Amino acid sequence: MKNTRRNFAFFSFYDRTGIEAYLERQAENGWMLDKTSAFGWHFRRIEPKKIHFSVVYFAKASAFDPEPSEAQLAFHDFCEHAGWKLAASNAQMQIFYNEAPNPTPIETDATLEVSAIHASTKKSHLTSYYLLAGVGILQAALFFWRLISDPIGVLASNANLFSGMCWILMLALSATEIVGYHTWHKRAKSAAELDGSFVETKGHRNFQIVILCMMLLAFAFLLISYGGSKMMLIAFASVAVVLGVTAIIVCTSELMKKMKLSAKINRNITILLTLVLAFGFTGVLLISVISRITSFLPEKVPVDTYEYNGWTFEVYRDELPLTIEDLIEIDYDGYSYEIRTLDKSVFIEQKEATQRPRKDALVHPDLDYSITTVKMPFMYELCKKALLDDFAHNYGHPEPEDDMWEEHIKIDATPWGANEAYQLKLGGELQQRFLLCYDNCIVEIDFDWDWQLTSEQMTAVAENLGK
Amino acid sequence: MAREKYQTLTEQMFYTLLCLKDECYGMDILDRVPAMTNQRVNVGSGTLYTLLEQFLDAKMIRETKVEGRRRSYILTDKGREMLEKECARIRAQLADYHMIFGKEEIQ
Repeated sequence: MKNTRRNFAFFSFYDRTGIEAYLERQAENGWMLDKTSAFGWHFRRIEPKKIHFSVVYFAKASAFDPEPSEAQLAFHDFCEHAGWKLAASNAQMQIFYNEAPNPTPIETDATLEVSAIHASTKKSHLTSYYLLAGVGILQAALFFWRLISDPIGVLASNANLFSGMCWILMLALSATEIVGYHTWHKRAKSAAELDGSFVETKGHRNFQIVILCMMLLAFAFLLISYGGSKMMLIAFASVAVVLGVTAIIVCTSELMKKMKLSAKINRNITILLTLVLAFGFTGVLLISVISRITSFLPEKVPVDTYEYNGWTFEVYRDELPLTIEDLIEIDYDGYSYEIRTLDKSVFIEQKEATQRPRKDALVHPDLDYSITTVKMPFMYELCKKALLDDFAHNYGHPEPEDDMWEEHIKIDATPWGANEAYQLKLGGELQQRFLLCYDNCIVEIDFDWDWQLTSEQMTAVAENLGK
Repeated sequence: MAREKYQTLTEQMFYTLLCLKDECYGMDILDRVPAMTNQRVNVGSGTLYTLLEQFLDAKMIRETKVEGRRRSYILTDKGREMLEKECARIRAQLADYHMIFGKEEIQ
């Protein structure tokens, strides 16, 4: 039977009432708090009994103190004189216990207590949440801006959805903590001044647990969706970097405390180390990802390669849903058939297919198309609009009379078996490039400029790509 | 609206200052106040620690002896003045009460 155990206590820093009740329950169940650390709260087994706990805040203390200051020790002496023994401390938070049946509380003046809680919370906890909220607002704004400017790029990528969701959750968590704290503080200050009563603190323990579970579930889903690919390794590496950097920072700070370095030196070195490691590791991860992608792409192995004008070209034999042979009779077997999944998420999947003749046989036609499958019907219109904007775009701001002016022309969709069909017009001339909207997917298909489309070929496109 | 500091003294402030008429260790006040008030008033150890710090800052008490972490204090003239002001206020309250209800009403 284990005599020690470690719990991850999800409490708001200022939640005096919640922490006391939690520790009293633990003692009744035979577990006594031994110490608190960044890696959890440590408990030791005791005879189950009723023990009173008191969480008080000593604003002058710091998480970087090598040891309790004289003032803090004098404070502990006062408490010990009244029967309160120190169980553990975590920066400004001091946790005492008392086994007497009805001990005098450590804090008997609500105004002074609220003021001590406020000074301590402002010093550490609230500052961290303000920083987190600031970064969260920036990241969430960036996510929504990308969602508006490139909805398919965001919605088709599980990684983008995951990081967006994480930042939104972090923002929700920090906002809840900040608003929750200020609401309590305002009420507690008024009540203390009015009648000297202490308004019990109310943390957001369940909300914090829900947020953590949602993030873990989302991460698990992300890993499953990568299904053993290189991206899975990158996702693991990213998490390992975050955990590794956190562990290095915490351990270095603890080491400096053991070396009795002053709180000021410890804090400055820790901040510097955090910045260096965070940027350094992110940079290393980014460089290694880029170098892996450069050196390992394409993931697919070509069935053949050939040289042409000093360049090496690869030949693929992927199975395409629509080939030139489905559309016309052709006596040529040197084509390269390639299909790639550009991105895939719970909402959208994007595939790109090409069928190209060898470079020494360019007399034969080629075929390019992309298929955007929309898995959630409510996103269909958003995707259609984004694809239409991209289909006929006017980057560089040409004038309507310029040769590069692009526009999409709505055409009869019936021959294509589609719900809607658009054709590209470039510099006033219709191109053999079409955007076809089917029930669950949107196809963009590009034929050679001199291809004479027949109704049978349009039907073949609908049958092969429009399902 | 926030109450101006020390305009009135809380019971805990009042008795803490009262204990310091003569030199006294800070910690001993924890026992003296309940004894003085027949257990009616208790000062929490955290509250007393903060009050002593605040009284020192406000020069209402001064430190007389430091023995390791044990420190003793004594009331200053300013502290005495605050106590007298508080007594006068309480007396005035009592007089007002008597004026309305008469002396016999007090239990």
